[in-house]
Amino acid sequence: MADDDIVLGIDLGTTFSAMSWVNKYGKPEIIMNAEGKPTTPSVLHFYDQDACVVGDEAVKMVVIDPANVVRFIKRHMGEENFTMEFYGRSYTPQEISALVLRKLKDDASEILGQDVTDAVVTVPAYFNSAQRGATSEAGTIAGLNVLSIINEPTAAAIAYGVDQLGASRNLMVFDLGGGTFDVTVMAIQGTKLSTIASDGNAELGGKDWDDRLVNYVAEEFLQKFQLDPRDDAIAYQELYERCLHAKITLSSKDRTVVPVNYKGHRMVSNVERSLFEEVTRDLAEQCEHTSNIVLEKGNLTWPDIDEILLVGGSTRMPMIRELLARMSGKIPNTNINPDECVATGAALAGVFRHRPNHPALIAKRQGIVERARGVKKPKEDGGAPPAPKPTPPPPTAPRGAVIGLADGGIGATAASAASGKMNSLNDMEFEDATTHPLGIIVLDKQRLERVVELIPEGTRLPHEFRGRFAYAYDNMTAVRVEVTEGLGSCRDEVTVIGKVEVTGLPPRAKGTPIEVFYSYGVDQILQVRVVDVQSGTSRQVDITFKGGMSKSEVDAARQHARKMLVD
Amino acid sequence: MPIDTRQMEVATEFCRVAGKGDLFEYLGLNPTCSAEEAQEALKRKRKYMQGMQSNPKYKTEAVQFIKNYTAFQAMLVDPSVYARDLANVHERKNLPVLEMSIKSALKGGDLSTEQVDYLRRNADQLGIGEDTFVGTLSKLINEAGTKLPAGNRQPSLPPMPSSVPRTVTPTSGQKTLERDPPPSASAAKTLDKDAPDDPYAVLGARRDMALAEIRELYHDRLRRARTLPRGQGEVVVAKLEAAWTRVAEQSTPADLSRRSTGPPARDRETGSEVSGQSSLAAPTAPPVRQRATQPLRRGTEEFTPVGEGSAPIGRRATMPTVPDHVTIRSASIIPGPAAPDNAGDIEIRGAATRQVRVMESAITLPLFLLFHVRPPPSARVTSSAAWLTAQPQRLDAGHEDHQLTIRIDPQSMPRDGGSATITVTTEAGASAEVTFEVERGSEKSRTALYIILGLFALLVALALVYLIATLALA
Repeated sequence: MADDDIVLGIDLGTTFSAMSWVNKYGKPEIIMNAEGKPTTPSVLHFYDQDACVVGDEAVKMVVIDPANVVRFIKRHMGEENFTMEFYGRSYTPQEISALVLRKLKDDASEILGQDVTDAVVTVPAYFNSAQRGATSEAGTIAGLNVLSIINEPTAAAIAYGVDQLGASRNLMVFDLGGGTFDVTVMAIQGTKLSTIASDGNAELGGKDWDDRLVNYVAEEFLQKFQLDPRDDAIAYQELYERCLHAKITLSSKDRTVVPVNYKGHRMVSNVERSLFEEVTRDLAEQCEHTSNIVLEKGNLTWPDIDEILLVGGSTRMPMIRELLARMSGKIPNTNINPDECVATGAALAGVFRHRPNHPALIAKRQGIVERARGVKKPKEDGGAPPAPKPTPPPPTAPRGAVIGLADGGIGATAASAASGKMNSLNDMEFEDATTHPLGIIVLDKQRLERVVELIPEGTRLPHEFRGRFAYAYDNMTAVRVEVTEGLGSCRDEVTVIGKVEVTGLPPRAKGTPIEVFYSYGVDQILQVRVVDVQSGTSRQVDITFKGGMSKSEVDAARQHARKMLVD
Repeated sequence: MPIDTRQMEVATEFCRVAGKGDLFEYLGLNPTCSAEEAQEALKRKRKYMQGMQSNPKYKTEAVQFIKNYTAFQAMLVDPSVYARDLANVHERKNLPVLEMSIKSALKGGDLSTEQVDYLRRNADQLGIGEDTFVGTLSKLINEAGTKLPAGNRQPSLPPMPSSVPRTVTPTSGQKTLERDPPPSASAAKTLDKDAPDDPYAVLGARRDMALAEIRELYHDRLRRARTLPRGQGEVVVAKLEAAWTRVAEQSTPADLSRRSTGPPARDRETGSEVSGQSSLAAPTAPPVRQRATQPLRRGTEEFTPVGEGSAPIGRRATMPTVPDHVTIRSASIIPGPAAPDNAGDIEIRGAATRQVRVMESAITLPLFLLFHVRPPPSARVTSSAAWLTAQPQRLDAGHEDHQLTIRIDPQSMPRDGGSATITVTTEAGASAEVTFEVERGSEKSRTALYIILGLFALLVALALVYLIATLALA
């Protein structure tokens, strides 16, 4: 892997996806899709066996062939037993997401003029291990080499903070996307970005606002005509699209209309912004409540927050901005593009973590060294002026690509690229934190199962834990350690994400010590080592987060995805 | 093989979320559908739900359907198995309700025929099959230490398989109730597996019964057979239909008027005789009352018709066994055969049916009994409803007449009144009963009545005063 090999930063969103890369000048750039747009709807239409279309074309088909269109699949990532059937074949959420990723990958490869495989993919901070594992599997199925899975708020903070380094500040990343919601408080200290606290709801997003409007209009129609457009798949999709547009309109206007036409009956529903806010008030309250919880977790108050970053298209709703302004007493930062900053941050994270010798980073370090040494340029003493350095030709703009970031982002400009000036990239360290506690199942004194938390929620990564336990019974010759994820005190309240068994031990008396080590790295791999203290026998298992598919299933899915025609 | 319990629970919960009773209703299927129809319906629904999984009205249902799709496919591989297990689940759910009803009835002591039939109707309404009802009734009777109705109070039960070996007891006119002996080798030998089914035995009828009565039995058993599991029910229905056809063919028109109810019942009000014909040709509601006054001969085995030449029971291994401590009686208790020997042993003074009106508070009424048999036996007094009680419940031997106190508690009875029966049964099996048809009034109507009476009295008083005044002036 060369240090200037491209790392794609991919924001795999519930409603829209985006991708970015960091050019050799150190500037992150959003990569346009084949349709020339910076974001791609995360919608697929299967029009034949082994053939599908992703993006805007799929969205058009939702009102024609709703049974073969899939959207919001991110809400089912990591969910057991959930599959969708198209033309006689079942697809898991990972396989469906893989087709979206494949479309992004193919578009990026075409635009950048080379095959791109390395990627950093983002997930909501509140995704659990199964959901993260499923996302990683999706990347693998799509033919990507997923270098990291990082949290979306972290990526957004990287995108924001890469030019804000130096001053210490607390940043709240308020990420309300199409299907998920996260609030993360991060601290920028020097070149370091670390997570203080995080919380969220993996099932709250702009879709829920849409649904409220759909229900409101449908109930109005039902009262008037005793017919419910939600009962028909096509009528529902038409209604949904109209309500979605109405929601977007209400972000800039005070009122709009939603026309409904179903079974020969027509109705126009007048919707005012105040009404919309009224029917979605409880959703906003959930956001408020979560924000307050995050502050509590981090032992902070609103005055401690220096900046509020809005991420996700749903933060464009005036009610959300007003809510945050009211709670915090600050105006949220709208300088970064809420749709693109996550992808940008993911690309930057890919470089910081996996391309330590990226040319832009090297240039930065060289600049620092030179300044430190006091290196000066040689004087010119009346002789012939030195020949001007040849101006390198401006790089050919890739087809459809936009150089630099949109909307005031931290961007390179074509001019700076054309000048050949090597922009350096501020190196950044960033730390993620666990959003779900990790524990172990033990037996208490009453011989009842209990969950003991070993790595609490909010623990910064990487982190190691070492704990001493004891054999529960006499004459044990094997021991099994069950690794849990989630808050809870008993087995039913948590998820067992892995097991380590140490066997072949000499019979041990009850109470003989046994050590358990948890080592949780930034690469989302949990190493669990179990050591029999007396003999020194140990066993280590790397628990990578599984999304529910076995290796052979992933391989088979990858083969199938490769054969599929994805437009 | 029954469906996995967990799968059934998931399906039940899913149907509850979807607002449907079961998967058949959810998929718009008939419970008798074929496996192909069921799978096809599942596929269609799956396609529909896929398009609805983001629909706020259907998303929970759609996601649950999709996630459990494989399980539903497995459950409907054989829809009949699902239907059967569904019935079992339904039964299990409602069984505690039935048990409560039986226990409540058992508080009054031995059950009467009417009570058993009433409980059977309860069970039917609760969707509990006959086998389960019989099993539950037997279990609770055993626990209570009581017994099923004596000879003249026979629970009407459908044909049971002769997998339970029973001694075939010919009709003997015995006066004492005997429980069936436990199955034994000798008893088993008396059973002939291959004996042809006697149509009267199948219908639970006696040969001397009127065709109309037999038809009633036939319809009753047919109805119960249809609640049996698929496969079993069809066999029984076919047998019943065949038996009825044979009986109907054998019967002559004269049979329709044949009355086998024995000596006419005594009209207790007037002392006049009531023709057996009229009391049977048009059974009055509730018909069970009529049956109770015509006690069946004791010792009658269920599958054998009362009368001579009864065929032994053939084995029907497909039906569940019946505990041998339960006395299974023939269903032919409906207006019965030859007059019992002890008819007229007990006389209840007053009308056989009494209309009573109650308000909010309980009332008590006297009831006078007279024993005509010597020496006067002991007896037990039972009620068919919890709101109607009689004290004392046990009558000591040696007394010719007794006075009972009947209590009607309106708080325990249905709001619009009801009907219940007090039955007195001697140890010899003779019985008599009286029915109370109770109408509930309300305090408000009583108050209104008082007001009206008061106004009327006031008017009368004013009129008198006016008259006196007029006379005085005159």
